[in-house]
Amino acid sequence: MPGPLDGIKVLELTQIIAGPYCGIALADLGAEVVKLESPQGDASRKIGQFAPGESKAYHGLNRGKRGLVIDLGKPQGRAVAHRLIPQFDVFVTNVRPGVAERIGMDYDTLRQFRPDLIYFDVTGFGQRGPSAHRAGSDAMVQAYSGLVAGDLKIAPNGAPEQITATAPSDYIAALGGAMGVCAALYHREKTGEGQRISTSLLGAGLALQTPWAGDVPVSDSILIEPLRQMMSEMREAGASYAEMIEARRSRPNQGKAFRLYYSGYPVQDGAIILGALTPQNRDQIREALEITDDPIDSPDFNAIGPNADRVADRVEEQIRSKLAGGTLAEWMARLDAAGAPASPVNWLEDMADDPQVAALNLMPSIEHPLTGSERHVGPLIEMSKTETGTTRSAPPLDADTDDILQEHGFPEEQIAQLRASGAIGVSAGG
Amino acid sequence: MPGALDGIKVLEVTQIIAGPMCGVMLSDLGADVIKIESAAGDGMRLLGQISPGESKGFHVFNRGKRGMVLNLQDPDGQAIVQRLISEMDVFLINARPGVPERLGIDYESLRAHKSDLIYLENTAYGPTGPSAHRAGADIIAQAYSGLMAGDEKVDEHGGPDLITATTPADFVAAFTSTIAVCAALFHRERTGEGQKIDTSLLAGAMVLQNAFASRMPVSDAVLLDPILSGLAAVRERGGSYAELLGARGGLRALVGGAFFLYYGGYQTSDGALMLGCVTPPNRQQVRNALGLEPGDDPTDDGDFNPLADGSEEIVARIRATISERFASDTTENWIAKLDAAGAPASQVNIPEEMIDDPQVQALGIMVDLEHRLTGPETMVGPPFNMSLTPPVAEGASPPLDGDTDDVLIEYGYTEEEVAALRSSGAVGLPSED
Repeated sequence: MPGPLDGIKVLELTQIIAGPYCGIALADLGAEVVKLESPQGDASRKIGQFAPGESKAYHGLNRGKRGLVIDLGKPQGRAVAHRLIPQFDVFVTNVRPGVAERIGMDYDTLRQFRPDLIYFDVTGFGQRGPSAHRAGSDAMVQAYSGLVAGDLKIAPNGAPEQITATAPSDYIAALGGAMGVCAALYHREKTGEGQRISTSLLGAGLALQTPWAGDVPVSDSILIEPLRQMMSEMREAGASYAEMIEARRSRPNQGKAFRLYYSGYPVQDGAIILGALTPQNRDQIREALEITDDPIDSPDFNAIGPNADRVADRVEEQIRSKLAGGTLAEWMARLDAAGAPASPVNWLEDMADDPQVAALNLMPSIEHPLTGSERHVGPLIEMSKTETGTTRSAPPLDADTDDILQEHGFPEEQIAQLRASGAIGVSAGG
Repeated sequence: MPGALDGIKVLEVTQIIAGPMCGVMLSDLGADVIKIESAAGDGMRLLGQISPGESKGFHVFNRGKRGMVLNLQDPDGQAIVQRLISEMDVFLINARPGVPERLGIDYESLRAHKSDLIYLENTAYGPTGPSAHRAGADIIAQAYSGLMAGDEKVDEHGGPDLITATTPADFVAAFTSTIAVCAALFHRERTGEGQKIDTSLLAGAMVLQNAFASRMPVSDAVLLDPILSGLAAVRERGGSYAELLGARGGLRALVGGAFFLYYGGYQTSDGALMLGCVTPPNRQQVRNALGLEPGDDPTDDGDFNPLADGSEEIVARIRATISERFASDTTENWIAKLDAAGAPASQVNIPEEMIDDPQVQALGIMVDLEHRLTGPETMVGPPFNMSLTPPVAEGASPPLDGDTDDVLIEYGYTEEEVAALRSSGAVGLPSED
């Protein structure tokens, strides 16, 4: 079964996560993806290297692609890239703002070679505005977009901490790009027109905060305006980051009572997570825990009233002591039987062998030409008529350069000459 | 300029975030989206209510849609979906497994009325496997997938802590759903075929852990296998969650310690900043801005081995030096110096203030909308731009039952039929009396 993007050819000039994962999303949908690297290779090849230029991060973020090395710093190298472009449908890049223009890989240059090209670029701060030129990566955009402060995470020494060990803005930007590319392919199929799609890690960081970043005056006058006022006054007074986070943490919080059933608790032999969002789910948990005197879902409970915190603390203590009195297996059995959302806290290192992950084939095996059999996180979606997923591993640096150029009409002699001049490939001894 | 999905019609039976956010993005791309709710409404309407049935959460995850209330327990209500579906292109649902079949709105039932329908179903654990039937939510997927333990956060009681205040698995599932719908529309345009798409919060959470979740025997022999045997040993003797984290954390901190010197937060004299370096040139830019001399930091030298004796002390010493330098000046001055050096660094902004940020305004990320009941509001709009078919936030979220009659009449129901359905309770809200 071919994928929905069967026959679509993608050229990517990308590194680290946001660009490369967009390429994976397109490859998983059946597109043929060629990764263009400089002779030094994507920097993620060196993050946790276990063989020269090969890392787990690079392998995980570049499976399903073929590898092409061109030195775009050389005019001859640029000419090679420009000669390839007419045979590609999509170009994906996450180089720093200004770089694409400098190396002749910007939209206006490339569309001259392929008028209906679909061009996607992701940068830290977008294509315009006072920060457009700044460098960007996930951690700093977490901080810039408010995700870090919103999470109230703080290190013992008072410094801010990343919200999570993964890179949420990178992944969301990558997925947003793949969405834009698919929508643009649909539009091209109907009209024949190509276009440029742009996104930013900043936009992705805000998208992740959709419920809080907005301004809904009717709601905000009660909860958000006093907070904004307080933060602004504290800043005027020269408060430290730790003091501002503490002030945020201790403000009245109408969500406290509801978060009792959407939280983690220790059990006798580990920990458990409750994930109830609706009154029905909370009732199922109360049933499994035999909690009978919790007024939080009764119509006359006032979540921002003066007693709300005291009530929440009392119920929390009940939940906590009940759960601490049993084992994980006992509680999971009772909560599952009640239909309540709950989960053990699993270890990522075990997930490759998890029966549910196996049932969904979320971690398929792939053979890497240098390092052998590997298992990586596969496609997020299954489609009934069109295949998703890939069987190709991440390319070793320069692995497919000659093949790709030959397929695109370069004679062998010219390839040898380009290689000798350093316009393509990794130079011998370099 | 019309959107890329101009003319596409979407019907959704969704709630909370993962399903509704997919509808928002299809709407941003130009599709006409109709949301079906029960008379009780999407559960999100009740989380942080500002007026009855209206919450900020519901407003942001349902902007751009029209709303109708159908009683899908009632065969007359189900018949309406079956009649509407023949004129729709896409159907979205994120109900619990088994619910679509019970309500007669599963893929097989609906494709009988629209053979090239694109049907998207998102669940917590996916369509098959031992956990397929279980209830779920973002926090459950965080815990089940390893994201939570991977983040190694423990609360003051020794329990696991959420990885983040936002809901990453929900958002990834929503974005992926939208990608899949667009790819399926492209496929339908080329072949005439519709299809069913399945995704899950579990898959979304796995993607976020991409490289960490992989198994690569050549690499894992050194780094991962010792962690796995350490975990097994603690589990064997019934150790606590905190002890399990300890068993996992040591080696990882050692290997990653040098990387996180330049990828993490520091205090300044008047606040804090975050460094985001992922490449050796980035790290050198920061060293230049900090005035570190060559030799002060050997971690990027080819022969530095993070696992060697003494490496941990070297990293700790460099961290102390960097911390001291940053503490000596203001955030504003450091950001200016780091920007001038070209290094990735940022102040730590407050989410509620982002709406006034000049960069956010320059990109037009926030959109102004007018809600029928609660008036003007500003919220996060489409996070990307398209040069020919720009995504556009189409409008505010619907009040419960806001468009039921209009939609039915638009799709061929007569006013008398609508009135009869309403009085029988198949559509709309129960009357007050």
